[in-house]
Amino acid sequence: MADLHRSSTATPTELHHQLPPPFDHSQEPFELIAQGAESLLFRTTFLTGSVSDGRPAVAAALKVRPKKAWRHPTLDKRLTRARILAEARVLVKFSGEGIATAGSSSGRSGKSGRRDKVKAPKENDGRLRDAVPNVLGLDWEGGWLATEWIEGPMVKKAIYDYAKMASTMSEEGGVQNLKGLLRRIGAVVGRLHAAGVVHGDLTTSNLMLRPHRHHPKAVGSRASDDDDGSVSKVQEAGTDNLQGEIVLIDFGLSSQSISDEDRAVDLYVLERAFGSTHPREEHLFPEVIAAYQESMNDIGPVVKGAKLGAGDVVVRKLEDVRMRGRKKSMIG
Amino acid sequence: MIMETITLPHLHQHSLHAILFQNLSNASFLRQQLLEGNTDFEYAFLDASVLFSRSQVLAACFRAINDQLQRRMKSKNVHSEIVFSLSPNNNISESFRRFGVSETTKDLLAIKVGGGELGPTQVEQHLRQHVEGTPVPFTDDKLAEMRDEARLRKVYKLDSVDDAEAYVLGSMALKGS
Ligand SMILES: Nc1ncnc2c1ncn2[C@@H]1O[C@H](COP(=O)(O)OP(=O)(O)OP(=O)(O)O)[C@@H](O)[C@H]1O
Ligand SMILES: [Mg+2]
Repeated sequence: MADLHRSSTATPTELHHQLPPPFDHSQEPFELIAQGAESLLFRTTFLTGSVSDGRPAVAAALKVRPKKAWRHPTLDKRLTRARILAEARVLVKFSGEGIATAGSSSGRSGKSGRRDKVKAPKENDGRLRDAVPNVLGLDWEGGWLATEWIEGPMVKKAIYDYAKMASTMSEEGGVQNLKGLLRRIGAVVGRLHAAGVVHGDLTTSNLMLRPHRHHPKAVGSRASDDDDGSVSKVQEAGTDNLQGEIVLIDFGLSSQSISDEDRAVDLYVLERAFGSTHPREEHLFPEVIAAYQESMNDIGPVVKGAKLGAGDVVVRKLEDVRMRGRKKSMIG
Repeated sequence: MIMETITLPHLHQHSLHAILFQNLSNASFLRQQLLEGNTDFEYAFLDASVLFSRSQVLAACFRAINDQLQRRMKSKNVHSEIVFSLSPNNNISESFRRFGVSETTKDLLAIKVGGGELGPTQVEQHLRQHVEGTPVPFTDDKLAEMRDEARLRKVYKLDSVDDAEAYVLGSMALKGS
């Protein structure tokens, strides 16, 4: 949501009052990465590599949703639980893509019953598995979710860094790299939609760019660059580097949906966010749409008897959504 | 020392003592002690054939200890809760059958949550005295040798065990939601 990004290393004691148990009594380092309207995001250690243990630290992203004193306690609990679980369920669903037995629904207990009429994507090749962080642990009552730490900058930062460089150099190769990045974004959003999920908050802060360096076996990303096992590493974002794999994060507002309208709105949110965050690059956004359309046409559910592919349908819908958006802003 | 004492991040007061035993020969004796509720045997005795990795075991321990601290355990004590935490579903007795020591257990992971009256040395002595098996390092490689892929696939509803660790941890974390 709101991304007031402040990065500061705080000792556990400064943050104890914000952290739910058992983190309020922790001796591990916590680095505050971001403070949103609803949540705090910390970089810390999880499962392996305690400060008092010799093993290399496994870095994790700990998302904490503190209690909101101004909200009714029952409602607050319910919202916290819903957000944590919405996010975790999507992440777990994708971590099982191409692995979990079809029809098994992790974490959806029988009593919640409401099976979603989501058509399976045509291909289930597991490629979304690497496009989201893995879940390491959670507590919906305590209000926290621990996921694998994604190395690499936010797409927002990568594009800012690119823009800085481009203003001094103006070279054609850079634009190609940026277009490539935008196409990878479109393709992964297409995959997401084809798998029956809309993100709900697509922005360039909710997309990460993970450098190509694969650890297929590791669950958490190893804080390998720190020989001392500390997790307070400063992330470097190569200024000329737009390479890497897109990782989708921040699924707190996501939902299961195969509606073209929802998909188009998802794209529209990204389009608007992109335009206001990266006005100089806005004219390149059609790359995202084009790649999205291709990827959805390719892997999305087949639209029976239609001449249009699943991606074509959404992109058409997007025109309507834009139109409505414009009308709204003219009136309002 | 054969026994490993592990400090889970954020739970430094609840260290874990662990020994992995290969070729267990007294599974039924150990099971009997648990059934009788012998208080000298406060351990999580895990059947290594359904274990993927250290991370999986540590995630189960983290959840069990956290649930104990929050006073919402579903089973008798923190050790049985570790066994239960490995399961992707809410059926407690099934989780004991699947993940706990049984008559047919060949390899066994014994875990004790520390911080009680007994120090590591006593815990190790007691385990080595009563568990008949060969202690081996508690590593992912050893666990990979011990696992029964067909059982793992069945228990966690997997088509393939390759790269499945993340899904397994996620399923454990979402259990009960
Ligand atoms: N797994 C992760 N690895 C590395 N960095 C992360 C990870 N998750 C989040 N971050 C960083 O923290 C920031 C905030 O995280 P996130 O977007 O999940 O929370 P938020 O926007 O505050 O949450 P919400 O909108 O759900 O209230 C991200 O923009 C990103 O920079
Ligand atoms: Mg965000």
